[in-house]
Amino acid sequence: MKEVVEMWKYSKMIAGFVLAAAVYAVVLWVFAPLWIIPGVTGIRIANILPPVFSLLFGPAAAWGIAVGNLIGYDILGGALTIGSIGGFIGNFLLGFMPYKIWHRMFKEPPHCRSISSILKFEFVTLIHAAICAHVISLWCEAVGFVPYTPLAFIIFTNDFIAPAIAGPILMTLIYDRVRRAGWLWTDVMKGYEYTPSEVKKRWMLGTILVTIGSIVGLIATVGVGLGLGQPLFFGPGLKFIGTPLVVTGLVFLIVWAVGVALLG
Amino acid sequence: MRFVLYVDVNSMIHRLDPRAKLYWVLCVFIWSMTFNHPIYAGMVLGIVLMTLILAKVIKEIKFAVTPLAILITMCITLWPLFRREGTIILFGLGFLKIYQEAVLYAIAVGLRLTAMVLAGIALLLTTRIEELEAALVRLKLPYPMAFGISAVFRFIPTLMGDAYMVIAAQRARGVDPLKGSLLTKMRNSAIIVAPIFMTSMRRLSTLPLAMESRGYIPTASRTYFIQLRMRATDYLYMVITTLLTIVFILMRLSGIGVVYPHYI
Amino acid sequence: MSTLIELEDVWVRYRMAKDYALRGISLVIKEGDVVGIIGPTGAGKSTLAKVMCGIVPNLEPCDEFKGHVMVCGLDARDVPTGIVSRRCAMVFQDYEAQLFRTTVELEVAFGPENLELDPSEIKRRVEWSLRLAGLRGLERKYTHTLSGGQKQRLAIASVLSLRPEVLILDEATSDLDPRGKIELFQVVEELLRHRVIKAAVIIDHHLDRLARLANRIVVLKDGEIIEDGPPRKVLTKVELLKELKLEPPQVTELFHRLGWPEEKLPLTVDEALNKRIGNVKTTSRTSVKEATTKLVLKLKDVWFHYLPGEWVLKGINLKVHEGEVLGIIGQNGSGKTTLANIIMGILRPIRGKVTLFNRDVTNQGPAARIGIIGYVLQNPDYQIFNRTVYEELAFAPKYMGLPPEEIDRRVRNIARLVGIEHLLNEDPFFLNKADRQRVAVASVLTMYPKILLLDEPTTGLTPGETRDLMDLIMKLNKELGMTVIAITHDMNVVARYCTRVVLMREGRIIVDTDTRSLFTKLDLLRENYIEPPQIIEYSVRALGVPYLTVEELVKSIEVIE
Repeated sequence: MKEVVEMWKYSKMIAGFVLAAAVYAVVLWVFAPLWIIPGVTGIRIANILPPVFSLLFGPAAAWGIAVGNLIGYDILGGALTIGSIGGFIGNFLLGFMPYKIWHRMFKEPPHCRSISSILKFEFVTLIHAAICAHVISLWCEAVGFVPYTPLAFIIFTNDFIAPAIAGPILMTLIYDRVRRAGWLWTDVMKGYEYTPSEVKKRWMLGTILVTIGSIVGLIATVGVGLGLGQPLFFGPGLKFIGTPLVVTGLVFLIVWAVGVALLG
Repeated sequence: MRFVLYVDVNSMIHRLDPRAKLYWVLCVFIWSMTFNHPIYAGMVLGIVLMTLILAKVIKEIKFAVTPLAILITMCITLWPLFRREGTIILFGLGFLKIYQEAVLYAIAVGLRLTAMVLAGIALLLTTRIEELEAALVRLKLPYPMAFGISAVFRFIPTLMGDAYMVIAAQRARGVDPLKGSLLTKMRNSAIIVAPIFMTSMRRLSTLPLAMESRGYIPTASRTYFIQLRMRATDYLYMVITTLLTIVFILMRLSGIGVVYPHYI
Repeated sequence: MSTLIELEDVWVRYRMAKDYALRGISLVIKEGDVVGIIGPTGAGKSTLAKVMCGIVPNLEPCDEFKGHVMVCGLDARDVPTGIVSRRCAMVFQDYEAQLFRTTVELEVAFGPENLELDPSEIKRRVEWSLRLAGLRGLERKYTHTLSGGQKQRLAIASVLSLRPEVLILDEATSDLDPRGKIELFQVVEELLRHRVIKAAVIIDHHLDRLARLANRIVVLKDGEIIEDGPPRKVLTKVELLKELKLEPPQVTELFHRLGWPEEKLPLTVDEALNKRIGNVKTTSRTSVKEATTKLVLKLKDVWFHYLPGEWVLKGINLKVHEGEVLGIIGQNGSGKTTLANIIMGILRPIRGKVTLFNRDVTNQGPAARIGIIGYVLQNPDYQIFNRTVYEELAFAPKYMGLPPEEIDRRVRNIARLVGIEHLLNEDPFFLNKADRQRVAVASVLTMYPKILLLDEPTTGLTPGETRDLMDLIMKLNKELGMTVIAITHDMNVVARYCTRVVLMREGRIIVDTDTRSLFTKLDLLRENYIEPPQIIEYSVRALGVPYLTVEELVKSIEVIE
């Protein structure tokens, strides 16, 4: 985890951060969304970028995607609210999760030139979309903004469909260039492994917990939002400050956080 | 496309220290969250609108009207479906019941959102990016981050110009992100994102060299050109803001201004 | 005079590079020196500049670095780049990338802030630097709203505030229009005259301009210094310069071709005017043949704006005939690129009509022009993205749905024509700019267009590379009868290759004429900040008629024995 802070000591990582954030914000603006349900959910081309940038620029992408979204969407679009805090964290995780899992778990580089590399790419993409949708929606529900269930659905489809389909296309086009130009995060920040030489047990456990916390967490919380299992878990008539939904969401968030801590 | 929201007029709000304004925005966020009754949420919105008038920038919020309208419509239609509790049923159809409380709550959330968005815009309309940067640095945000964030602002217009040229070049050879089926559009967009990214990467490869050859060392200490000074008016402004915050929280604690006491 | 920079036997090999970028360079720069560094692409000019200001080997990874570098009394290898740059500051080629702060004053303040100076001292330095660079009054402007020339000045101001003793410009003018280039050199001249800087090192391809500014020229080839001396001694070695694909000043070349000895060759037009060259048979001058062939493209009263009320094109009327080579010139912001986008159908006119081969295409997008117009942009990176050159060339025909054998035939055919057969399996991203531009042209040619539309195709190329690219385009014009429309800043390109020229200003076409007539109007060109090539200025002033190239003039001269 300390690479997230340490990256600010390297000029080239700062440049990588600027690159990731600015390109993300620009692509957000330049491409109109391709609507699936008009006005509600669509495919944003910019969503292809987080997993790709994450796997290339590491922590610079985590900060870059968070700031790129904050500037491109909230500030230039004039939507700076308390929701932006959740948006910042959620987008940070979009850029954080893929590289974090990859550099602990997969020995193959993320070049997307083999079926197995693409499958791994799809796996980290699934996780990153789930945890982002979970965190932002939970925050918006908790602060009384937008209900969890529809928002989680919108964010998840947004962040999963576009990169799952088009991410590998982009990755095959740029992976080698970024590597040869010396921009891969582990080429700038010496002492970190781009792919693990051996996969430690606690990293495997961490990945399992992260998967449960994000994907199962998302499904379970959506379930509570739709009114399933509520009497089962909480008993009829029980009222918290907030809702059973937030509590369910938080439990899975803790599972996820333990997983991330294990990934180190 | 407007890259800089700041409007250069001389007003009392413009002259405030950016830290005082940041504090005010934070407090508006708290105020908005305090009430969930439309009348009280409307009162918070009223304070924000008055501030915009004081700042002589009330006409500048036009650009935010459409996105706000979408956001509010979404709130008002979604919340009544997910807040299924209350005493008065406005509309019932089998499983689906719409409560009067839920509708009031939804309207309050809409007003609350508007207040927050406009507070954020008020900050950006009256404060230059570099003042915000200076404020954040004084508030102990590490300089490399503050520097990186303002560099993102700097490069967005340039990279956006490049992006439009890339789109032109690719359309000229038949790659059109607006034509064909959804899949074709996505594929074409991914293809266009690749040269946008590579052009940006080539451009920004000079950035770390240029930074360091101007004497920049990320870990070193430095002095600052922009000097901030809190004046008496700034302190007065912050005191009034704080008093209002205390009053509002006391009101809420004594049950004033709420539809659902157990929800934020 | 004291020594400012001293390099002793410097060898540099970059990480993973097969060969040395510099091989045993020894060079001393003294107070008062204005050193022009010239040489072909890949000779090591930029590396040399980066060594002098401590970027190599401190910031760019090298597998090998040997030799001693002393910069203003500092050993450049022992101190960080940030310290060396206070004495010896460098301005890079891409001015956009080196301006990273939001406003003008913050950009200039960035250096002094890093020096931990007092805020009041920073303020003084900001004012001082902006005044020298001629940017006063723009302090609080946002960088992205400045013009190219202003950005370039800002790049200089932002290193001046570090108070360096030596200023290095690495092709700092190559992205600027003629006006920007003139302005920038004026700034440097002034800094030297007022002794703000003690010496300057300038890497530039335009030898006629260097001849005016520099008092010493260093020629690099394959990482070694092969010539070092005053401009009069180095720039008069016409044969050597031509061999290196550098263009010597045109008047120098003219007198050399007329058989004058090296020591008597002029460098500037004024010098040349003082020498007699002999009788000129003005009659032998061939006039351009009128284009009477078929009309291929017609724009009738075309108007366009991005924002209502701000017209970018104001009633453009233009006819292009088959086989023509049309040059479009004008300052930045005169509407040239917008016009190209209208022709290509990327933008649609608000008013007016566009006809292509007698077909009204006013309201049709680029799809209706594919296979008819090929569009090449200034920056090849806008176009190129495939993993290999072969895939890049095959990309457009594949999109057109051609069968694989036909695609392969086209790719090989065009690669041979453009001379990039040997690069087909390379990754285009890592080719040099000249080769990337060739790939960009080739990738458009595989659509077999009838018209080639080029937007500043030679920007950032050396004169030699420019000539190679334009010779290629002329080959397409001659052999395939391709019509060429070229937007360009380079007056040598216009003079040498274009049959007709259109001069644009503020969204209007103000001159539309054959190339020779254009260059008789020197005053009009000056008004539009267009600098004619030396040979034209010389021939107009000496003989009263423009000769477009050195060859043309040489042929018309009867030498007095």
